[in-house]
Amino acid sequence: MCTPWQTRFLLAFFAVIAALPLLGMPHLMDRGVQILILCLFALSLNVLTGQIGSVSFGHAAFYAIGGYACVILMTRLGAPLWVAMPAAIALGALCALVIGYFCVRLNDIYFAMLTLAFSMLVWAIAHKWKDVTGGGDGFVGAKIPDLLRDRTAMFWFTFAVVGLCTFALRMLSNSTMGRTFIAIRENATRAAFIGVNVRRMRLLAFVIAGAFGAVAGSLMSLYIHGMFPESAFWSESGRVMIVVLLGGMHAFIGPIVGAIVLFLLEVSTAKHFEYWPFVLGLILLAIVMIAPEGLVARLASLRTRGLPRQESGHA
Amino acid sequence: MFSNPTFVAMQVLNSLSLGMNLFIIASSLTLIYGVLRIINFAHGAFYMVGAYMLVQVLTWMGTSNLSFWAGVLAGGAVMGAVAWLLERFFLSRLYDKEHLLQLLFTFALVLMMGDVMRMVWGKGQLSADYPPALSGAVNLGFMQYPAYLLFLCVLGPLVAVGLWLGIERTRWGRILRAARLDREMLGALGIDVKRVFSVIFVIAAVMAAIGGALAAPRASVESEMGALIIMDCFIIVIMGGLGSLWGAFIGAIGLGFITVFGTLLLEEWEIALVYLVMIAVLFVRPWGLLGKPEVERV
Amino acid sequence: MLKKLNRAGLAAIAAATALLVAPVHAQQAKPPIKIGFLNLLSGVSAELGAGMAPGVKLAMDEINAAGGVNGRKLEIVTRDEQLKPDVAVALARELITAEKVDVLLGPLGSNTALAVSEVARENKILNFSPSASADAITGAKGHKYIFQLSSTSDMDAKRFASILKRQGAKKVCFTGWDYAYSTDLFTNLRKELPADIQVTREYLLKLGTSDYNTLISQLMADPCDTVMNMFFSGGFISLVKQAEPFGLFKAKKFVSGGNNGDYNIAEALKDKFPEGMWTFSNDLWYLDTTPEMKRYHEAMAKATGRKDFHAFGLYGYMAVQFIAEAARKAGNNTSSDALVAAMEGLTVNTPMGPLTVDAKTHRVGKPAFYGPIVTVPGSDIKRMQPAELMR
Repeated sequence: MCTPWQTRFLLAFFAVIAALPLLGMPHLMDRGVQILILCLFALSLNVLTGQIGSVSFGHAAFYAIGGYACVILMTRLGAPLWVAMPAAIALGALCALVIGYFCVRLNDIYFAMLTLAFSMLVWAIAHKWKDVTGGGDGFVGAKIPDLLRDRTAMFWFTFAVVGLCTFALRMLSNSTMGRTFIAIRENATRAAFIGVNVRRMRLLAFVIAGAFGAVAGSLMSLYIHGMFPESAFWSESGRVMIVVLLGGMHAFIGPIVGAIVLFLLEVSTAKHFEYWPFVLGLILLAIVMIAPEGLVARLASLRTRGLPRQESGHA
Repeated sequence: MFSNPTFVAMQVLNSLSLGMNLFIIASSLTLIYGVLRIINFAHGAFYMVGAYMLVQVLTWMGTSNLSFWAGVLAGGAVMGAVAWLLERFFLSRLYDKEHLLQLLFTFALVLMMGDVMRMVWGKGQLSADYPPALSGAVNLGFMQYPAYLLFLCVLGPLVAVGLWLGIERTRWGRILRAARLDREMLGALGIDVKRVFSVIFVIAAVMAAIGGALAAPRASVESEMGALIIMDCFIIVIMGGLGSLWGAFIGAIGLGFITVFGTLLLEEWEIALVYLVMIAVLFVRPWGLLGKPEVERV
Repeated sequence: MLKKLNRAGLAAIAAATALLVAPVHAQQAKPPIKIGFLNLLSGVSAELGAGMAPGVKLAMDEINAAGGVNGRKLEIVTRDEQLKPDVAVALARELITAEKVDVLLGPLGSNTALAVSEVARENKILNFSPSASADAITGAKGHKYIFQLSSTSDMDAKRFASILKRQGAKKVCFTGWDYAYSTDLFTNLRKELPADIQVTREYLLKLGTSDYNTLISQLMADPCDTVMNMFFSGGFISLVKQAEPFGLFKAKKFVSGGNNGDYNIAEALKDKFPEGMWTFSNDLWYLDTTPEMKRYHEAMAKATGRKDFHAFGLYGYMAVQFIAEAARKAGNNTSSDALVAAMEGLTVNTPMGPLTVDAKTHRVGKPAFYGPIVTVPGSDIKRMQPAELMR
C-alpha cells in the first residue's frame, strides 16, 4: 500500500530527477536514465516478491526478454518504436504467463529455484541463438529512432514511461487486487478460505511483474542501443533483489529507496574502488544482519518510536 | 562418431570423472540442506577457496606429490576455520529467521569471497598441475586415459560409501539423522543442537574445499569458478533430491553424462539442455529422485 | 541491546549514505590529452592486459618527458573491460561522459572491441583498437571513428592458409572459443584454404570455459590430421596441460593463432609446449629486427625490470605512438573529427619500422612473427625459430 507520506516521497523523487537536465551536465542525465530504469525494474520485482510474497531469483529473465525483443524488432524487422516496445512488453508478459504457470504451483525454495532455472535458460538461449540475439558478443548497434538518439529526448522519454508505470503500479498497490496480494502474502491459507483463488492471483502477480520488468528492459535496450545476455544472468536478478531488500519489500517506495541508495553507492565507490562486489556483499550482509526489513521500515519505525504501538502504515 | 567404441568409452569415463568431481561438493551441499535446511549459495565459493589454497601451496612448495596433498589438506583446513568463524558470528544468529535471510547471507558470502580471492591472488586465471604420481596416463589396453581422472572416478564412490557409513553407522551419524528429522526433539533430549549445526556446517565446508582442491588441476582456477559451479550443484541436488546423499550421487553422475553427451550431440546448446532438465525435474517431481515429498506444492 | 543494534545499524546506514555526495567533476582548465584505456585485467587472459599496460605507460612517459604533444601532457585513465561486452560498453560510456576523455584506447577483446566501437560511433569519439583482430571491426561494422592497429583476421587467414599448405595438411579441424575472434578467423580461413585441404569440423566452446576434457576426446576422434587452434593465453595453457595425458599432441599436428608464440606462454608450459607448433607472436624480446626495436626492447627491459617482458607491451606502445602523432598533426584543434582526419594516412616510426594508417580502411595491419616453437639449447623455455616477420 502506498501511504500518503510515501506518495509525497514519490513526488519529491520525481521532481528531483526532473530537475537534472537543468543542471546542464549531460553526465547527470545519463545517471538519471539509469536510476529511473533501476527503480522501475525493482518496483516490478516487488509486485511479486514484496506484495504477494513469492521470492523470485529469476526476474532478470523478463528484463532481458523485454530488452532483446525491443531492439530485435526495431533492427531486424524495422518496426517503429510504438510497435516494437509494446510488442516487447507483450512478449515479456506472455513469457511470464508461461513461466509463471510452472512456477506458481511450487512453494518457497522450489519456486525460487525454478525461477532461477528459467532465467538461466533465457540466458543460455540469448547466448546461443546467435542469429537472432547476436550471441555472447551481444546485440550491438540497434536501430534506435533518431529522436531517441538525443540524450535529453531519451531522458524525458524514460522519465515519462517510468513515471506512468510507477503511477500504474501505485494504483495497483492501493486497489482491491493489491490488498488481496498482501492478504495472500500474510496468510495464504486464510486467503484461500475466504474464497481467493491463490494460485491464479500468484500467476497474475507474476505476469504483472514480468510485464513491467520487460518495460524496464526495453528502456535499457533503447538506452544502450543493444542488449547483452548477461542481463539475464542470476547476478542481475541478485542485484535487483538486493535493491528491493535494501529499501524494504513491504513498502511501496521501498524499491525506489533501495534503488537510489544502491545506485549512488555504485556510482560513488565503483570508480575508485575496483572491488565493487565485495562492497555489495557487505551491504547485503549488513541488511541481513541488522536491518532485514529494509531502510523504509527502519526509518518509519524511527518516526513512530515513542508513540503508542500502532500500525505504522507500511504494507 | 558413436560407432567408435574407444571414443564412447572415453566419453563415458569423462562423464564419470566429471560427475564424481561434482559429487564431492554436491554431497556436502545436500548435507547442509538436510540438517540445517539452508541452501548454501556460498558452497561454490567454499570450493573455490580450496582450489586457490592448493595453487598457493604448489607455488610455495613446487609441484610434488607431497605438496599436492598438503595443498588439498591446507584447503580443507583453511576453509574449515573460516566456516567456523562464519557460522559462529553470523549464521548462527539467522537460524530462527526467515529462510530468505539465510539464503541472502550465503549470497553475500558469494560476492565477498569472490572479491577476496581477486584481492589476494589477482584477477587472472591460475592453474594447478596434476601431482606427479597421477600426472600420466593409464593404459587401458584399447586406449590411454589420464590417471588423475581415473582417480576421481574411484574416489567418488569411496566418498559416497564413507559418508553413508558415517551417517548410518556412527553415533554422530545418528545425531545428524535425528537433527534432520526433528531438531526440537533432539534439543529436548539434551543434545546441543547449535553445536550439531556448527559441526555439520564446518564439515560440509571442508568437504567443499577439498573437492575444489581436487578439481583444480582439471580446469583452471579463477575468481568466478565458485559462481559457475554452484549452478551445477543446485541441478544435482534438485535432481537427486534435497538432502539425499545417494540422490546427489546419482544426480552427479547424471549431470556428468548430460554435460558430456549433451555437448557431443548439441554442442553449445548443451547449456540450455542442463537448465531444461532442472526445469523438467522441478515440474514433474520437485522433490527429486530420492528426496521426500515435503509440502512444496501450493 | 536490540535498540543499540538498531542505532548501530542506522549509524552504519547513515555513514554509507554520507558517501552519496557524488563528486561533481570540476572542469579542467589546463587540458592534458586524456586517453581512456579499456584494458583487460581480469579473467582467462588477464595477463594480456598486464602485459600491455607497461607498453602504454612507456610511450606516455617518453612523450611527456619530451614535452608532451604540442605542449600538452598525455594522461591515461584505465578501466578493466573484463572481456565482457556489457561491462566494456558501460565503462566506455563512463569514460566519455564522466571522465571526458579525448580518445578511447582498446578494448583488447574482439567482442568487446565491436561493442565499444558502437559507443564510439554514437558519441563521435576516436577509438583506437590496439590488438583486436576481428576484421568486422573496421570492415562490416566499421565507421569513421574506429581504427585498428593489429592485422585483421582476413590477413591472418591468408597467412595461416599458406602455413597449413606448407605443412602438407590434408584435413583440418577448427577449435576455439565461440566469439568474434575465433569465428571471424575461421570464416576467412575457409575462404582462403585451397581446394585440396578439407575442413572437417568446428569445435567451439563458450568463452571462458576451462574444462577441455570433452573437447580433447572429440579432437582425438576427429579424422583431421591438423588442428587449427584459436585458444589463447590461460585457455591455451589449460588446454595443453589437460591434453597431455591424453596424448593429443602426439596424435594431431597443431597450428595456433592467438599470439601463442608469445614468450610467456612458452614460459608457463616449459617442456609441455607442443614441440614444433606453428604460431605467431607480435613481439619477440630475443629478436631485434631494427635499431628502433632494439631501443624499445632495452627501454621496456628497464621499465619492467626484466629482459623477457610481455610481448603485448608493443601493441600498447605503438597505439599510444599513433594517437600522439595524430594529436600532434592535428595541432590546436583536437576535436574528434580533427583527430580522425589527422590519423588517416598517418605514418609513424614504430619499433617495427614506419607503419601507415590506411586512409580508406582505417587499418594499420601491424606485422607479426610467424614460426615454429622449438626447444633451443641453453634454455628450458622454447622459442620461435626461425621467426619470419609477415606483413
